[in-house]
Amino acid sequence: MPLYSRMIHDYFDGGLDRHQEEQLFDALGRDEELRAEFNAELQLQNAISRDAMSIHTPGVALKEVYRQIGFGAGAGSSTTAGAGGIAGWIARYLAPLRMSNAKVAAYLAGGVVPILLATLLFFSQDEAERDAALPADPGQSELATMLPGPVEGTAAVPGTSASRFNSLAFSAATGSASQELPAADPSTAALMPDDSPVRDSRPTPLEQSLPTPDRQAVLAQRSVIHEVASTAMLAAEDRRHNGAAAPSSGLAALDRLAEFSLIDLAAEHNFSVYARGLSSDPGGSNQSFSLLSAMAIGFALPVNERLLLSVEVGNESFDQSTSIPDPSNPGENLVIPSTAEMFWAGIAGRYRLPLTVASEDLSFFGQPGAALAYSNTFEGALAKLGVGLEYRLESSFTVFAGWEWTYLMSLGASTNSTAGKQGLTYGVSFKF
Amino acid sequence: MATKRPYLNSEDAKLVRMIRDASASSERAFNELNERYSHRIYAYCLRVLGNESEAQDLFQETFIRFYKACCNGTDIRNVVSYLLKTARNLYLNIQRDRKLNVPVEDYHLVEHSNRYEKEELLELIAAALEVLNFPLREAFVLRHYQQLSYREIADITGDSVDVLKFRVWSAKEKIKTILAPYLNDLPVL
Repeated sequence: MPLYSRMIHDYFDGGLDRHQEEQLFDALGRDEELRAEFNAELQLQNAISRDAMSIHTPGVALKEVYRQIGFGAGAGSSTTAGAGGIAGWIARYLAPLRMSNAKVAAYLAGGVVPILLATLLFFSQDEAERDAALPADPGQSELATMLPGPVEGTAAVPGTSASRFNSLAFSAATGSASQELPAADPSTAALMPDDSPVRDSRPTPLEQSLPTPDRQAVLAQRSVIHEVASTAMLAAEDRRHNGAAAPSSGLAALDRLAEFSLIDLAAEHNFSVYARGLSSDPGGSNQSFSLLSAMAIGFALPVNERLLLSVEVGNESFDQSTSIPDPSNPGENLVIPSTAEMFWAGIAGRYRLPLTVASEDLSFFGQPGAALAYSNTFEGALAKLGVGLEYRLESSFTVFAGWEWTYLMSLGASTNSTAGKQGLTYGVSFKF
Repeated sequence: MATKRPYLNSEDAKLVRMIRDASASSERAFNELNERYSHRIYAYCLRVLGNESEAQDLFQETFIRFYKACCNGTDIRNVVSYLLKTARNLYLNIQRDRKLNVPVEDYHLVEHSNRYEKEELLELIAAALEVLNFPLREAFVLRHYQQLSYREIADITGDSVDVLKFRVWSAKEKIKTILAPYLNDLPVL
């Protein structure tokens, strides 16, 4: 009996192996007295659990702690920061702006300086101040408007809210809160409940279980970066040279875009190498075709748990097709320049802020200069890691020798291995 | 959306650094750590001391010292362990001046009937804990109220895992002995 008494204790203490458990339950089946003891132990365990849950920290004790430390707020009463600071001011007064319509892009003629200013402001803030300063769920109405409906039956990979920074940047760029923008359709917004995986930016249990959830998520999204920048530049160039119709006319052009990426060869060491191919039809009705590929090498450095600073360098020397036909000069080729990219990428699909600067001779555009492409992206996946469907809603603009803009929406299907060691993404972009 | 817990997903180490750096968000960082661990620390204080008033004092002093340690740049890698160690040391300091332990043999439960509400059982558990000596009580509380592993407990108390296992078992046996009349009357769940 004493032996089994100790075994009962060990059973509840998690100290029995399978064989010992069988021994114990065999004995319990035979011995009524032992069952009573087991029951008593069970009651005690339950009572202890209830007791532990019934204990609540007295508010007076917490207040005293805060008083003695010199804090005013006290537990659970985090003040809404952002009242101070330029970014907070911007967010407060310019927050009504939403990138929910392409018209907003037309206001971006302010160009690079406001964007960079907003970038610096945004990332110079403390994380909490940024959170508090930014408008509530900026861009969510946009997402709700664009998505066909709620994401159901999905478990793992959440959607992305990419436009926290975006809203700030656009607000700074436009410099005015007076623009009237169409509100999100409430009927579609209602389809995106607060607990939807798309709206919920918290890491899912699956993500938390991943060994490096931040990098896994970021690298799973990385394949879009070049696509966005490249496609935006191609589109801008195409319109510049071919006098395409105003892009606000809707689906003025259809681009086909196929991309493959081999990413995250050594994500555990903040190092990645990938190659990508891009098949694009930037000319719309002109049906011009270009093919380019590039290889990039980069490093991703975790800034904090939300941001990765990733620097990648692509070089044409790795490229087998660095020259593409120049649509404006038949018979001549355009040379893809060496570029350096720097972008911030949010973990767990929260937001991604690629900022691409190409500073070398951009013969790709037919004249020297510099270009900056900015985009924001909503992303989500309708599956657990593994085979699934990804969706991406992107907006981007390119500044080059003045400014050009484009608005992208792409939907793509992709596969990503569960280990995140490599990914294969094919996408189709609708550009308007 | 601005949240009341903007650092919900932040690691402890980062929050400690924010407090240390006295950044504008240090209060929020402290709030977050408070949200995470105040319940556990107070539960420890209450069940080890057995007195609400003293538990509050111990709890307050623990968190104030923790805050000061953060500000002073103390290397705190495991916040909950640090808090528990601080509370434990403060408790031991208190005990230097007072002798609170009462032998189990001297403890007499109040008169009782055969019908007990579950709430009463909880009170009786708390009362039974009070009569245990500190090492047994502490090991029991850390194991069952804090849900710490034996290795984690060993890190706090400095005792070996085997000793701690024995103490937890011994504490539970004593509690069961004290509460036997009550436990046996309860129906099987």
